[in-house]
Amino acid sequence: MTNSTPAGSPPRHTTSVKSHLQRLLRMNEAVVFLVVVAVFIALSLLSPHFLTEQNMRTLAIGLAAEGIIVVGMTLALASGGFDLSVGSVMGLAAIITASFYTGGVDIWIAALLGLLVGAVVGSINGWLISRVKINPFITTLGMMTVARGLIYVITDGSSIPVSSAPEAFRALGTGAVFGIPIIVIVFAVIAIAGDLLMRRSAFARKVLYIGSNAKAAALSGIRVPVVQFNVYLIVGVLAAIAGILSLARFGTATPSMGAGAEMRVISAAIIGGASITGGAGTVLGSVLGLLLLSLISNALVLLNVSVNWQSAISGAILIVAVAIDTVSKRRPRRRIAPPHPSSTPPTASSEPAQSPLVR
Amino acid sequence: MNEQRDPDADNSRADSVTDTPVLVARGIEKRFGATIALSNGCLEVLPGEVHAIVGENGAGKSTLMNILSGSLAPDAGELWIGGTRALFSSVNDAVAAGIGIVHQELAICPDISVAENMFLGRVPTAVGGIKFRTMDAEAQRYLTMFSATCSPRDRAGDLTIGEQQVIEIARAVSSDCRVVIFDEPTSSLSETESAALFALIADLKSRGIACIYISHRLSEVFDHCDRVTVMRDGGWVRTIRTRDTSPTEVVTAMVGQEIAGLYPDKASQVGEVALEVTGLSSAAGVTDVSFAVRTGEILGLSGLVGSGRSELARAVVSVDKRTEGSMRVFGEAFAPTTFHEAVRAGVCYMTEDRKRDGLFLERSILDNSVAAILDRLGGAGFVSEKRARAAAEEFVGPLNIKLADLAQSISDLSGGNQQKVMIAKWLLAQPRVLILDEPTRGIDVGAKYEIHRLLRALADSGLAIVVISSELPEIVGLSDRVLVMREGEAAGLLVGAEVDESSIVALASGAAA
Repeated sequence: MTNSTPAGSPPRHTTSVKSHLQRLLRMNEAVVFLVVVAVFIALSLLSPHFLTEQNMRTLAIGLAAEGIIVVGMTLALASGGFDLSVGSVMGLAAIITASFYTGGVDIWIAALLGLLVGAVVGSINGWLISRVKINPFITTLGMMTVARGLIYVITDGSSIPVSSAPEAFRALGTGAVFGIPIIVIVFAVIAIAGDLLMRRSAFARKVLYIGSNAKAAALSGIRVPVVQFNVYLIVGVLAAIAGILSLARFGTATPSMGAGAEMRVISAAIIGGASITGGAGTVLGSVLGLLLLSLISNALVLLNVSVNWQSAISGAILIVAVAIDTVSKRRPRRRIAPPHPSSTPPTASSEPAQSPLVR
Repeated sequence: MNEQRDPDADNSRADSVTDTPVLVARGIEKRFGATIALSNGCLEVLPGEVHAIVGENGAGKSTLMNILSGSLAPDAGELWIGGTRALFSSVNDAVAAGIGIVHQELAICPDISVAENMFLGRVPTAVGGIKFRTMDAEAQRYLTMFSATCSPRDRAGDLTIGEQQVIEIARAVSSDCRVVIFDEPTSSLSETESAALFALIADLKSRGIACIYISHRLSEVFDHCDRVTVMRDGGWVRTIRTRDTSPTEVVTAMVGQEIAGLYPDKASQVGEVALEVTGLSSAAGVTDVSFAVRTGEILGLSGLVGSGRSELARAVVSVDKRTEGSMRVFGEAFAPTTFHEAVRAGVCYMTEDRKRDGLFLERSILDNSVAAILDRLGGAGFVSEKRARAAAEEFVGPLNIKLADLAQSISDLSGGNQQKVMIAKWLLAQPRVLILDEPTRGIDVGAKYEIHRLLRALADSGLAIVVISSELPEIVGLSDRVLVMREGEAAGLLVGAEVDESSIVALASGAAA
């Protein structure tokens, strides 16, 4: 009979504690978390300006908008696609809100219209990908360019200030409750809700199944087009929320707002364990990935390294993270036999005995 | 029967062969970590013999073949080729010694030429580049040898699967080839292509080349092989002439215990009409087909490859678009527009291609088994892990699924157990009509036997079952009635005692008309 426990190994309960620990460490989030903690400690030792309230607040506010988008991007990546248009949609939502406001519309209604634009762009992406079946790369690359183009058509290249907007709106980006910036609170709520839904909801499960094998998902009775459509709709709305909050924060809508956000957000999600081929990803991991990238940018500023290094370093981290993940998964295929005869699940005794080797 | 422990001492031989063995393997052992894949691999192959190797998954067949073909090194044991001790350290060593292997999965690069595919990795080159003329001439020699009509310069992707197999065989067969190993070659072939393959094997045999033939299809073993070696649990069980034994005896040796007949009893009584299909046509080529399946019965769907068997099922459950026809489920109108709606109405379809569009290979057994019931595993759009686990566990025991933990990856399971998980997935969806496309494709005899019994038990408990299979013995052994398809149309319906292989073949080929 088979014995997967080699002779002289510790008793079973210890093994199971160890295996729990191993499982925890195998989770991508754990590795990213440890790296984040290490960078955090290193920075607190290296720079007296790092662990200050001011710096922490700057860090959190700077992270919030892309943090909201990364929640949606995690979903898109998990479904086996991605959305390159998020940066442009973020900018477009801000521009639409700002120009309606300067055109005399109430700021809250203008913001609602900005959200609507995000929903519309998301729906078009979703429709093209799920029904017309154009691949997500082409669809969202096109939409990225279209949305950015529209921004320039609307603004003619100039910024639209909303500094005269009611204080209540500006507070979304600049205010704080109990010392915590409101924009950070909004991000935290969306991230926590997103993480829970990603782990527990039937919708997110379907997304993961589709990302693993879309054909098998369809042949399990999952309505693949409906789920895919909703994914891109959600991504669009989240990008618009990020845009409107950024508008409130800066008080002005610039045509370049959100440019390049898509790449940072996709990198963050992948560093956090999402897979470009779909079927994997957690919001927690993605947010940790984004936090890591933000800490690196922060470090460059604090340590007086030229900011020009930022994108080179972010890119290198992305490649290293994926390389580590790829290499660590390249273990020999396990052939799992029941760990111990007694732990074999009860089976119908009337059936013919089979080989104990489960191939 | 000759049943000696040492195959070397086995005197039973096919009549056509009298020479000394071309290949002898004795006491081959191989471990992977703590798992013993092979404990006593023994084999003796005579020149010009077609030698079948059968055994369940995990019996060690593939490991032994990988050792014979040089891709794995044995931990212990001896290998003799034509009377000399052989030690292979690579596939090239095995090829040089005259042993080639034709793998189960065709590995063809569709966009390059037939000749380049044949010589992949050993393209003849000279200073300045590839010697295309030499290569094409050599390739043409193989194509002529196997009477393939394509040209060496044809694009490989345009060939039929049968012709592509010639490329695989040409790759395996070097000029001084003595033994060719075929690893489940027919699992993806149509009946005609299989026939061509067997003609090819007969041709090799007539040149004195020995063939080792691995298959889960016992009918092929008995029709085309001289001797059969049965393996079980990594060891040799017996080697016997096929004409001296019977399928039941071979299965008994494989499983290691008596089995009660290859197929379960037929339905004792059938109930009301569960699914009634009238005048169904589909965009995928099904034309005006009507049939009904009752509770308690297994309806077989047979026909040649391309006759519209699967297409009929796919049109019923709206995977393919229906163009005409009406359907009723337990008397109520049934007109789904999506597969999702068909499943909700209780008509479930299990796909034929387990790996490509049946399983989520990177996900766990648990995830795979609850894929069809995500909306029923908790309230308000949430999935309760506990309820998912409870639901899946309900079927692990009764289906005899061999696993260590529901959280383990589905790809760790054997084909038979993967297939059982697929069945569990659909049983969890509480079907009223269950359509299974090739429910036992590529799985071992023991698992097949279990699944056949399971399907009969499900029918007896009141489920209406439709089974699509390209294996005639399975259709005949399992079905109460058989609907035979030909060119998208229903060629005929066979009931009870009319169900036999020759009647099905006659209907399927149009000879009965």
